[in-house]
Amino acid sequence: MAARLHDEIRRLPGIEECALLSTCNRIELYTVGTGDAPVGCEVGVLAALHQVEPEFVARHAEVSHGLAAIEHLFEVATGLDSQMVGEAEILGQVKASYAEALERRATGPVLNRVFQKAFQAAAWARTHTSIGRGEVSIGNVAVELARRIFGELSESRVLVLGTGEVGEKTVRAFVSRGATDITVASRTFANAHRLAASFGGAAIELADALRFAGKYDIVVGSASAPEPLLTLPGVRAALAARRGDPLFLIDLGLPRNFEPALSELEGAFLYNLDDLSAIANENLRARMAEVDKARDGLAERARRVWSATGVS
Amino acid sequence: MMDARTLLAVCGALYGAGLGACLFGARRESPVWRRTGSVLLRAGFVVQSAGIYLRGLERAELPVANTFEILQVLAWGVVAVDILLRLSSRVRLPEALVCGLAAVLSCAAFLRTGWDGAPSGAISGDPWVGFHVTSVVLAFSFFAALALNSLAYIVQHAALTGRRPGFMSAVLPPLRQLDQVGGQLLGAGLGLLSLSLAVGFAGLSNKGGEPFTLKLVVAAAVWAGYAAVFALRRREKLGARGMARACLALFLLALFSLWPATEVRRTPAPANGAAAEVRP
Repeated sequence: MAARLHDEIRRLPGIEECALLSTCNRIELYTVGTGDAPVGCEVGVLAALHQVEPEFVARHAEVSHGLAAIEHLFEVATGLDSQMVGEAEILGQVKASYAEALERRATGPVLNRVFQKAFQAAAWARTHTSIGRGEVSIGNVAVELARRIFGELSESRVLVLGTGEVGEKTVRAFVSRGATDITVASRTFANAHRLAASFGGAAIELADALRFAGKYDIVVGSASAPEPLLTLPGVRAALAARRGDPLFLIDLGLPRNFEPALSELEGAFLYNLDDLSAIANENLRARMAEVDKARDGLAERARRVWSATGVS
Repeated sequence: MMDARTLLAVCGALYGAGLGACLFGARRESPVWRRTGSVLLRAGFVVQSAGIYLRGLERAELPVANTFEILQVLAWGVVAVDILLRLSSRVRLPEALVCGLAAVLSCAAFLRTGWDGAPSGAISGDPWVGFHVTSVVLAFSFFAALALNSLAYIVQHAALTGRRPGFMSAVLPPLRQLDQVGGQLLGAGLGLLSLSLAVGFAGLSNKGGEPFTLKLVVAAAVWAGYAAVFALRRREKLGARGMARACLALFLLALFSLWPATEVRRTPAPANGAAAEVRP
């Protein structure tokens, strides 16, 4: 679709440059025109492409011109406009979109400069403000904690008890950060097998998993169980088998999958959903506190880029 | 040309500046300042190496003859162990801690002029005594690095069990690495101290048997403390956190034990070069 859109937009009279940014929750079109192009002509192309009425697109579209458009791109690239403020993935998506537009020769001197400056502005904001500091999703917070205990996750063994949604997301975060040795256990073996197969892990029976919990470094509980799956005697035995190596327990279940008293055991680090949420929220608050500072710096940079374009 | 004392003072200043740069860099999350701290630490190490070498030439004996020199060599040893760790493993002791301890030790050496006594010739007189004293000080350098590692472990552990891991936790190495490196440092320090004590005891008995001097007793007590921690840890009777606490406490005691050790050398004693310094 991006290829067609680039071609269609460039065919519009008066449009000289364009770049399309398309992510899971936004479609943004950056264009540079000679002034002859009718305002909002891009809307018609978007509507035709998606086979909807132009009025429908116009009703939902936000249009910015000149300096405001540059400021917007800078904020998008920095993650200020993301649902999860300060997230870094968006910068990669902006870079990929720009690379595609460049490959299609859809950009020109103005957009090239504006996009390059947007990347620099995003880097500035990450270095000079705390906009990207700390993890803000449950899964990433758990991964970060695991790293502080074990270091590289490629050498850690992860056991997942249950196939709950939060647990699945958390395991995906572990996999995306380098964990390779993942085992899933569930009361319904077929469910465990299905989840394990989705990221190349192994599936075992729940009873076996509980018996051999000490062989794993990280145990994620996301089962719906009326009673705790991991209890004090079981984890004490697991820790003894680990010969002093720490054990990271992540309890994402409600009711709790692990006995709260496990946190008192030497060598066991127990975090439940509330603990992880509290850390994520704290990090998010810290990021929000930096938004104004980042926005001011980005606006200043956008003004400089806008003046350099020489467009009044 | 600068004399050894001046060079060592410059090195203390470099370590202090390195500490400042590391803390500022950590606070501001500035890689430039952190790198500056790292460069200042290395520069301090080079200057200190030159200062200690020059000191040996000036006094014509191993520069571990008085409190001033022992503190300087101890600071040098801490940085040397840190560099060794960086070259041989993935572990990075926090540079702010290394700079801090090196700065404290090398600056503390200047606190009292009395700590820098005149050369005695006691150490240069007998190579075994020189070996013994030098290896004790180097073993203490390993214990100093172990103390830093233990401090990092305790802070990281407290942050993780408190469920509010903040900024400090993010800049410290992972617990598992700290535990592994702690074991290696303890083993290396203990091995070196064992060798040193063996040489010390053998030297004393060969020389006609001055009984156990306070110096050797103190060194043996320090050895016994670390050996007990080592054995307990090996037998899994002591957890990683317990070992970290014990090693931190033992290092503080070991540091204080250097004073009786140097005091002994000041007291006039029979011509038994092993443990006595006769002042001119």
